[in-house]
Amino acid sequence: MKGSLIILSFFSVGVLLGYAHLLPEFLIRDNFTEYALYLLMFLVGIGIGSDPRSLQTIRTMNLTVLLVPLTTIIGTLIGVSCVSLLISDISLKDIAAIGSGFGYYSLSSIYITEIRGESLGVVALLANVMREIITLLFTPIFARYFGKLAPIVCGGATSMDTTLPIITQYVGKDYAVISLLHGTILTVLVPFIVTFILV
Amino acid sequence: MITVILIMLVGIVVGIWLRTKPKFVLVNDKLITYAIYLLLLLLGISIGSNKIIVANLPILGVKAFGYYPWCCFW
Repeated sequence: MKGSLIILSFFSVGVLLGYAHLLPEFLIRDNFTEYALYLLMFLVGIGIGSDPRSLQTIRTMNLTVLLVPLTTIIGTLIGVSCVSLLISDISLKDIAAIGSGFGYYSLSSIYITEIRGESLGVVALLANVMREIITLLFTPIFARYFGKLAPIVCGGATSMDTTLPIITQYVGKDYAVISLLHGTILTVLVPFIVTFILV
Repeated sequence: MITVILIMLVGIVVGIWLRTKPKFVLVNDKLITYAIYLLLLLLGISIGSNKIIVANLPILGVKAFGYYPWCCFW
């Protein structure tokens, strides 16, 4: 809980700073976020390497680990279908395509803009960005009240890079490999599923 | 994306080497926490200064926000 609050505060301060243009230009360029991610991934790597248990998960893994990305896909499509009942001006197909971004906002919004136009592309961008942000903000709460796999599923395709550190931190290092695998599988599947739905 | 995984692999190798030095491991956990805060600050900044997102938030953001709770509770 406390973790989520601190994370939320840092994020909110960041949004306000960015919105008010209070910062010098060089901080706003995307590179900084990338470098912070590199640093974080390096540290997470150290965390995983230094804990013998986390690498052991690779040995005990079998095909059942594929159930996690499968759950994400099915769950997302069910959830997104329920949402389509509330939103009348976007078709179910389009909504399903947006959901199939699984958080991979850069690629999915490009695909959707190309096939369906900019307006839907922006919705896709926002929806998937929100998925990533909310995973980052609420992983501590989700891990506690919805189970250890919940943050991984929530992160979707992002569970391999941007949300992996926070998942490792609050769910456990032994789940890092599952998260990585889950994210990788979904990342690869995004272009196929989005195209398949929209064409 | 691949860069990120490679960096993590390098970290894993360093971590395996650091198994014999438990003090570093504890420091590392704290560093990760701070690095997460930093990442989120920067993410907030890049979102707040993104004119496309900010401009469209009132109109399209409400719809986009509708997707989130449903997608994530599975």
